Formats: sequence, structure tokens, C-alpha cells
Amino acid sequence: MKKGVSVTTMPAVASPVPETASRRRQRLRMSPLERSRRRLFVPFVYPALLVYAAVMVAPTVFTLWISLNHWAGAGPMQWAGLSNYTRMFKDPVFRTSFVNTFWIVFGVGVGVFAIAFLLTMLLHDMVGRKLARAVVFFPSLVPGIAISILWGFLFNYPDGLVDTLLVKLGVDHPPAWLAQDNAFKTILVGMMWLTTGTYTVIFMAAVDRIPRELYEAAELEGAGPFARFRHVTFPLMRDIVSVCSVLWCVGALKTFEFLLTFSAQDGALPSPKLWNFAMYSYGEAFNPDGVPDYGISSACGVIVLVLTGGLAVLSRRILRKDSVTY
Amino acid sequence: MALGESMTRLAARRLLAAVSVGALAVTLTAACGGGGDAGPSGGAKQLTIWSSWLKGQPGQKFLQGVADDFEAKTGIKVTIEWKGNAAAKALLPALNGTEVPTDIIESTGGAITNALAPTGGLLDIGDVYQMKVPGTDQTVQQAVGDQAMSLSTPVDGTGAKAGGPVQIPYWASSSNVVFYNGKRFPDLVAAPPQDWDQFMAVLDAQKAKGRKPLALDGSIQSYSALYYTSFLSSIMGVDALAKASLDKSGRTWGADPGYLQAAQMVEKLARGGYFIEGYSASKFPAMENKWANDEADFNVNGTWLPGEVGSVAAPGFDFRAFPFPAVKGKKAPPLSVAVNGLGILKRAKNPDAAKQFAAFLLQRKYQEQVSSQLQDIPVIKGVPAPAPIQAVKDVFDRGDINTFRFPTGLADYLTKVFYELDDQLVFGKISAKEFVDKMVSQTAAYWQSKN
Amino acid sequence: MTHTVTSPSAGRRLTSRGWLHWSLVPFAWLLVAADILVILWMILSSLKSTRDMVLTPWSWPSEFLWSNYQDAWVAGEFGAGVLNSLILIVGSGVGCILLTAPAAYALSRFRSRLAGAHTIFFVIGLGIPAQTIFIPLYVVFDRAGLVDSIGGLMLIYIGTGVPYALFLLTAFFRSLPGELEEAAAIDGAGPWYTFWRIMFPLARSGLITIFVLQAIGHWGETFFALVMLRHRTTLSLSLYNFAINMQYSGNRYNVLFAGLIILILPLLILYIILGRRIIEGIAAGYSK
Repeated sequence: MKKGVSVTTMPAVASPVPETASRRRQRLRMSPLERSRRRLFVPFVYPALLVYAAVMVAPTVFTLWISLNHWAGAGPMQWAGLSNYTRMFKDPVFRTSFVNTFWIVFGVGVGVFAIAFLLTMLLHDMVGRKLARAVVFFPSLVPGIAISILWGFLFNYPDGLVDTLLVKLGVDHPPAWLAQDNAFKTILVGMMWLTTGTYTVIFMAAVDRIPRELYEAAELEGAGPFARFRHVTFPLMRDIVSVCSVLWCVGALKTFEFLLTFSAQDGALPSPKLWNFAMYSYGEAFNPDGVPDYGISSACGVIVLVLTGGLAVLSRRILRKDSVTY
Repeated sequence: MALGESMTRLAARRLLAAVSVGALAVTLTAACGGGGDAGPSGGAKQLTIWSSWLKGQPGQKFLQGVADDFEAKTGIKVTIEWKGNAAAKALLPALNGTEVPTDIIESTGGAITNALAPTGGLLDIGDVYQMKVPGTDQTVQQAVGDQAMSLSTPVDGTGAKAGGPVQIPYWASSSNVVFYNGKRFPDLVAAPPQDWDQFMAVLDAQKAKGRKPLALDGSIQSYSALYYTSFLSSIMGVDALAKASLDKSGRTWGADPGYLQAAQMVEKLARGGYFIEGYSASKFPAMENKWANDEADFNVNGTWLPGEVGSVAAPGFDFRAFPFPAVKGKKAPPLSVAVNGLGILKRAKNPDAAKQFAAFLLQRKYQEQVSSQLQDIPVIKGVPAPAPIQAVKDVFDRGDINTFRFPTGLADYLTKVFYELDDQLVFGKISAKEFVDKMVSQTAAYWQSKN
Repeated sequence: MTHTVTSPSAGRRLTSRGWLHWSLVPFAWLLVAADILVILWMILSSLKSTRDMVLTPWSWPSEFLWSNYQDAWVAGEFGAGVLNSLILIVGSGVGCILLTAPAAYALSRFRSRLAGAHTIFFVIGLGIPAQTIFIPLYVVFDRAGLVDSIGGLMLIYIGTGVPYALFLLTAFFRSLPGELEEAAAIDGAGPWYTFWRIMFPLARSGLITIFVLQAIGHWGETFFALVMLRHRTTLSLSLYNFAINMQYSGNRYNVLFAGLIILILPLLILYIILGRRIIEGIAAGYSK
């Protein structure tokens, strides 16, 4: 975060790009090149914008409309006003979903980034790092269905692999990983396992780009390992970390396939204890025994969208700061 | 038929899930190609079906066979898209389209009556029930019976019938069925237990030998719920769950001792150590696989079970089943049944051909194939079922099936309130008393959140 | 955390590592070992009999059933979807890049006051869940005659890929040096020429990354494929149906894994061959 910038000193949201000193300088320096480029802003940006608007934005506007109605997915709509939203906010399961969403976005996020960082540091110049790097990326290539089957064989109580090993190691009462009270925690761990590899690969590659001279210089100045990490590695990785964290947060907000494949059989829904917002939205539309309720499903989708919007604005703030070059 | 339907459907859905995706080779006909025909169905010589079976599955081979015969008999060209489990899910958005892509949707009863019917996209096919089954004097209604017809009719939020039937069923599956290995319990093959107490004596005898007699894949909530709902419908009747669920104050749960009694019977099983080790903390199908290898003795499950675990079962495993026994002194809980079949789309291009096909499908020779190929229950009375589930078919033919219809909107309630607390009861986390108390408070809270 | 990257000279390495480092190294390798175990387990499982697989999942196969692969190939009917999947992956990847790269370039390097708002508008798309837009999307595509068309599905993959690609590419373009552009401008090159001839090739590694990441995503996409296709199929749809069938009619996990390995293999080979490139691209793409 930019030093000294607090929420209160930020300009109002109306101007998403705060006027800074450097920006003012840029405008004063505007060259003929700049002006000719400005005229091309539309031809450069709008083809992508149009496709994006047609495929994603327009349907989303319709989704907003659906969220104000009762609807089974086809046939007549029945006006509901804001009742889908008020009912959703009063639903205890929605509150559970909120807590779970929070845990996935921040709990798993912190875990993934911490482990990825650690691995990056540990594996950096070790023998076999290339192998390690290739291997940790592997889980992201495996279809979810394979992982979900593996899941059972690993964590079944009492004779899954993990508990069998624990018993061999002398643990008398191995944990029931998939029991009601533990299932969500086990899922969080699984998410970490699956995604850590991707971020490790990214971080490792980023560290590779840091010139070695910087470390040598730091070492000559007597900087210990911790100081070197603080003053060399971290500042130079900050940009990558912030880009990754935005992608993680937004991706984690809308992930639910994982919850679905890991905890239920095909066509069924997992226990509401395991729902997050995206799962809530899916569950309201695809309850295998019920009439699809696209009104509430859409209302929850809108909530996810609003949260994403907030993150997007926040990310602009973070990413806009001058980048460190080397 | 209430909750039973939802559970059976769930399982039927699993059964329906199958081999690979439909071939591309299928030619485009009515769905997309025949846009030019003016006037619905006027002498159309074609018919399109979206099926929940997948290529290579027994059900697919069966349905393709029927379609071939139909084509040969009538000259109407039948095109079937093998869409698999997700057929209804894929069809739903298409109902908003300029034209519907198929004439018939072949799926589980639940997908047809609960997911598709509320959109108003399905035809009321009461008239098909009055058509004659080819080669017989029977009408379709006489052939499939009033109960199956009733189960094919959608209901509204109060459980009342909403319009006429929208499905012609051709096969059924049942969920509250007790499976066991006949080789190990020859006495039960000859004389199945008459009530729960007799069955309990068998369980206790097994327990005395150090066995944990009941297998249960607790990761499937609807399986766990089979115990409570079967006890409850034996004690209080099939509408008891719906009645208590719809009471917005939640107090019904606590007012009638029957709700507590059913819970106590579950509590006894849960806390008495009758369930197989790991049932509350393992992933389907770990427990049913153990059962198929005689690590447990009984499995309350559905008629699809033999097909599901057959390839894993111990050599010589003799699949046998009897319906869920009655609570002593009460009527047996009626069979929870899902009937599955064909729905016809309101905007179908060839509704007449579709209706003709539906009646054609119900001929006795095809019903016999349901038994021999699909390995599940043919809907028509007197057509035998596969040997392991013939005892269930007998009950089905007697008409002791649950035709109470659970109000559709309550699926959400089941997911969010009932299944959760039922799990805790079955897993021994809460006592029967706590279960009932929590049902009272959480039911009230649920309905309050809906205002 | 004790350790940072050091120079490659071996002599100095040891000095910079404390006990904490050495106590954490086994943890890192444990993770790697776990992943290798998963790969190995999948391969061994794919060669077992169904009963072996289910009853003794962690033991060495009592016999090697290579016929599982044949069964999987026959039952899976993967052949039908292969071509469509390839067309979709390549088409949507290239399409998305050609569409997004100029936009990302303009948003990150043209000093327009509109850039900020536009970027946010794009980035919000990252949060639009498929299950809330599929019905309206279907309705529109149906009217446009794009249902059951690989082109239509490709358009969806391109459109839904735009936010992600744009987000990464703006960061990427921002990191490229500006001198080249200025030099080109002095030489009289217009912005179009500068972009396509200079900046676009420079961004190659980032573009490859986007392509690969999207390919991995679309390789497994089933939701839109299920809803938008009728007669046609894709590899992921075949896999989805195949997997469900193997699971629920007979617990045939051995054949299921044989099928999975058939499908993962191309990805794995691609990853091994292109591994370094992809990794470099990923790094370049994510850094500014």
C-alpha cells in the first residue's frame, strides 16, 4: 500500500484515478504522439469492449433484472421487487456462505501465498528445483473429478491413506477429516494444495528475474538473509504479488466447482455448511429436488459482482503506484 | 410421495448417469433442420428425443431398440440425442429460445415434474393416458396405473396438483429398500422381517458377533435421511414430514410425540453402534463398497444398488432386498418410488408423433426389457422385476407406494434445515430430544427468513 | 523466514542459510513427494482391476490390466470431441489475444483519462459467474443462430476470457520500456504500426502465458459447452459423462483413471516440452 494513504485521504470514488503529482506532470508533457494516440483510444479498446459487453455485460444487466423477479429459468416471471435480496440476507445459510467465502478468499489466500513464498525461497537454488517446479504445477492440470475421487481415498476415516499413516506413526485416534465439523477445513487445505503450485511457479519465475548483483551488493554491505529478503526480494516481487492477489481474490470469490465436486455426488448439492456465495447462487438454481429459483440465484450473483467491483477499484489503487524497476 | 421422491430421484439420477457422450453422427432433423414445416406436426414423419441415457448404457441400448422398432412400424424417423444426466439442465435455457430443440425429453421424473414443468414448457399429456397401448385393449392409464400417473403430475408450493400429468413413465426405482447378501442370511430370503423389532433382533444378533451391521454412505444426505423418514412415515403417515415442515411456527415438530419417537429410533441406531465404522466421515461410495464385500450386513438404499456395486462385490454375492420394515404395531412405510419416463414439450414440432411413441414404449415386451436390460422396476403391473428386487416389485404392484407429493418449494427447506439436523442425528452428534428441539427452532427461523 | 536467494557461487551459499531453512526444506520436498505420489497412484490405479482398486487402493497392482485403457478409449468416445476442443482452444486463445492485446496496450500506455474507468469496467468481468449469465446468453445466441455452433461457443470463451487476459496484459504492457515507442514515433511510425510491429512482438512471452492459462481453463470447461452445444461435443463434455458413468455404474474407477490419464497425457507432454517457456511467460506476464 502506498505510504500515508488512508481511506479518508482517498478521493471520492467518482474519480477512480486519483490525480497525483506524476499524473499532472504527464499531462503537461503531452506530446503530439500522445495526442495521436488518444484519438486511437477507441479503435484500440472498443473491439474488445464490444465483445466483452455482448458476452458478459449485457447478460449481466439481464441478471440484475432477473434478481428482481421470481423465475424458474423459463416461462413467466413474477415481479418480486427487492424481496429476493431481503430474503437472502435473512437466510442463515447466506450468512454461513459469507463466512465461508471470507475463509476461502482470505484464509486460503494467505495460506497459498505464504506457502508459495516459502517454497520459492526454499527451492530457489536447490538441486532438482526444475523437477520440483514442474511437479508442484501438476495438480492444476488434473481434472477436478480425479482429485475428488482421490480425496475420498486419502481422507476416509479410518482407513484412508492419511489416517492409515497416522496410525502407523502411533496416533491412536486419527482425525475424521471428512466429518461434518471438519469437512470445510479439509476442503480449505485441499484448495491450498491445488493452487499453491501455480503461484509457486509464478513467484519462482519472478525471483529468477531479479538480478543476482543486487544480492551480492546487499551481502557485501553485510545484510543478513532476513535483511536481504526485506530489502531486495520483497520489494521487487511486490508488483507480482499484488497482481496475483487481485486475481486470487476475484477467482476465489466465484469458485464453487471445487466445493461441488469435492463434497457431493453428481447432480446433488453439498451440505449448506460448505457453501460460499458462488455455491449459494448455484444451489438456488440447481437444487436437484426443487423448482429452480433464478431470482435468488441472480441476486447472489449480483452480490458477488458488487464485491468484485470493490476489489477491482481497490486493485487499481494498489497497482497504480509507481512500479519498481530494475 | 414426498421426500421419498426426492431421494429416489437423486439416486435415479446417479443411475442415469452413464457412459460417454452422444455421438456426433446423429443427423440433424426436427430440432434444427426442419424449420420450414408450417403447422405443428401436420403429418410430420420425424421425431426428436433428448435422453438422459448416454451411449453404451443399458438404458440407451433399450431406448434405441424401441426407437428402431417404432421407426420400422410407423415410418416416423426418430432421432435421439444422448444427453446424459444433464439433459434437463441443458434443455432449460432452450425453453427461452425461438424454438425448442426436441419433441420429447426422456429423464427422471423429478427433472420433468420439478425442474421443467414449473417453466410451463411441458405439454399436459392427459390425453396420452387415454390412448391405447398398441396391441392391447388397455389405455395407457390402465397400463401404468393411477399412482404412477399421479406421480407424473407436477405439484405446487402447497403440494396440490398443478395441472395434468406431464410425464409418461416407463420405469421406476425405489429408495427405502433394505439390501443384504442372501448367501449369508438364507433365513431372511425365505422370511423377511415383518416389522422393525424383528429386524432389530437380527441386527442385535450380528452386533453380538462383534459386527457393525448397517452400512451407510453418510456423505449422501438423502441416504442418511432414509431412516428417519421411513420411521416417521410408518408411525405418523407419509404426510407427517411435510406437515411439520410447513408449520411456520415450527411447533408441530415438538407437539406430536411421533416426531420424537422416530428420532429416538434413529438415535438408538446411531448411538448404539449399529452403523459401520467411518460412516459419518467418508466419501461415497466407500461404505457401500465395504458392504458389498461383507464388511457390513445391511444397506438401506435404492433398487439401483446391485448395478452400482456389482463389479466390486465379493464373489458369489447374492443381492437380496426387502422393503423398509414397519415400526412394530404400525403400517409399513409405503415404498418411496420415483417414476421416470417421457415428457413432451409444449412447443414440440411433432407432438402427435411424440404421443404415439409414448404409448408405443409401454408395450409389454419393452417392459420386460426394462427388467432384463435396465435392471430396474417396470411400471406395468405383473411384469416381473430382476430377481434381487422382485420383493420390492411385489409391493409396487400391490400399490403400497408413497403417492404423497411433497410441496416443491420445500426442497430448499430440506437442504437448509432438515438434512443438516438429520445428519447430526444419524451421526450421533445430537440426541432425539435435541433433534426435535432444533427442528422446532430452526423451522421457525427458516420461515421467518422467507418473509 | 531466514533465507533469500543468493548468488550461485557455492562457497557463499551455506553461510546464508540458518537452521530454519534446513528444517523447512524437508517440508518443501514432502509437498513435491506428495504430488509425485498422486501421479504415481493415478497411473497404478489405472492398471488395476476394479476390485483391487477399490479394496486395496494403496497397494501395488496384483496384475497389470492394460485393457483398461482400451475400455476407456472405447467407452469414453473421446475421439468425437478432440477436434472441436482443439479448434476451441486455439481459436479462443488466439482470438482473445488479438482482441485484448490492443485494448490492454491502449489502457496501459495511452495516457487517457478514460483508461482508469475502462480498466475497472473490464476487470469487474472477472467476477461474473457463468451460472448467472447463461440463460440470457443462451437467449441472445439462439436468436443469432449461434447455438450448437463451435463458433458461438468460441465467442463465449473469447468474451469470458477478455477480463482475465486484459488484467494480466495491462500489467504486462506497463512493464515494457517506453524508449522503443518514442524511437518509433520519431521515425514517423503511427500508433498502429508501433503496436503491431514493435510492442506486440515484445509482449510475446506474456501472450503465450495468457494462451496457455486459458487453454488449461478451456480444456476442462463443461458448463457452457453443455448448455450451448446440442449435437456437437467437446473433449471435456466427453470426459464429464465418461467419468460420471464410470463412477455410478459399477464404481469402475480403474477405467476412469485410465481415461483421465489419456486426457492428461497431452497436457503433461505439452507442459514438459514447453515447460520453461510457459514458466517464463507466466513470470513475465504477472510482473510489471
